[in-house]
Amino acid sequence: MSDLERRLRDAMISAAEPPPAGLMEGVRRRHQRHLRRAAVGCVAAAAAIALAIVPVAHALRAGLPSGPATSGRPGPAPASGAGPTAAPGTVLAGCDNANVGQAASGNLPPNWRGRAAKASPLSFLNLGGHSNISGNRLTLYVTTVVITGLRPGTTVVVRVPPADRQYLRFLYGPGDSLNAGTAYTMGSGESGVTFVMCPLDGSPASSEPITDYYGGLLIEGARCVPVDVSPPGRARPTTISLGACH
Amino acid sequence: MTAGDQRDVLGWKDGDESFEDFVTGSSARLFTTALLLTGRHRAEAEDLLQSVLERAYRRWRRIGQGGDPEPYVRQMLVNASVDRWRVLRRRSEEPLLAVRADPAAADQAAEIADRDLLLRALAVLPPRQRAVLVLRYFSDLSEAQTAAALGCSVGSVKSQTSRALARLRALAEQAEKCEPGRQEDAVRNE
Repeated sequence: MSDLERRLRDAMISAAEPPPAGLMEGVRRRHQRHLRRAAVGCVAAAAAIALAIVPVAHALRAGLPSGPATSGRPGPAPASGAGPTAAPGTVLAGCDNANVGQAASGNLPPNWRGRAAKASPLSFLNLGGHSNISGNRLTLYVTTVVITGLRPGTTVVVRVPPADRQYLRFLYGPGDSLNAGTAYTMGSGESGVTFVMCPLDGSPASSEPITDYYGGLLIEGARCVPVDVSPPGRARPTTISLGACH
Repeated sequence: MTAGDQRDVLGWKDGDESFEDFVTGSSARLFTTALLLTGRHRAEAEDLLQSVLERAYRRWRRIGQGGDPEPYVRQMLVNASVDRWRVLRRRSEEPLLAVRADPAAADQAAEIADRDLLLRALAVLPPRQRAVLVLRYFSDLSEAQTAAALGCSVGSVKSQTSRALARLRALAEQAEKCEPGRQEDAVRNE
């Protein structure tokens, strides 16, 4: 064991603290909340099954295949068993990494809508930049992606156009880190992300249909880079510009 | 309301004394592990540990019937810390140099300052590398045990450990150079 390893071990041992008082009570309260959420989920699932039976029964009576009913509404939510998947060439930013409802809106500044770069239903909110990180020309912008008004399970795909991939990368993937001290390169990020609109957790406080993802952008130099945003049900993407755009 | 009624209301089943015994006996070690995994962020560590223990309770019938449940719960803790990191990092992220030393520690012996510096450097490592170091040097797991806990190969543990230690060394050296008090100490020692 090297000197550094020995010092590190000593440091970790010295970091020991007594466990918080009321740990068991906290676990109990969480379990209670889990049971409540599970009950709400069961009721919702039962209602969804009941609603699904009606078109299937109609289809059977009419002698038609019992596929999903088609309506004019865009972007049906995927079946709950399948779950959202990443669009080709993108990474999936899933609900495990999202803030939902009040947990999302409560963390946003009051005037965030006015400050954000919008491509409805998605917005990029810049929370601050760290220039010249790691001694290179990259700027790390800490940004939150906010999605509002979509049905849970639907996705919004964001891509950097091929010609601009050398200038902008996203840091929203499951393995991405976000530290100003990190030696980032353009290879540290992704050129496309599939963001998922997440369901509310069922608690009364989480009434606003809003999902946000905390992450970042790596931008080469002081540059303004176009980004294509593809919401569900739209044939053509909306383009917004991110970075040093004045 | 009696204690038993309270348990029923909270969905806490009878006969869970073994779980409570487990929490009582291992919470100190698990909490320190959580502290190290979250970069000594006490509130986050408490939140992380509570959520993991709640999930462990749901599976307690399976977890608690085998041998020692602590390694399994520790593994849950590590995985949860890595998974949740993106959500938890909402707190302002500062480079190591911007983190000021605890005033009390600054006045203490060099050994304490060194430990503090190493723990601060540990806190800015990527979560996976931090987890590897915590499992190897705090939980005293072997490379094979660490690999099993993280669901990766022994080779990956070796490379992650090596990278993490190199990064830790670089961060600590960088911080030492840039802290005025330490510079003065270094000058005096020369």
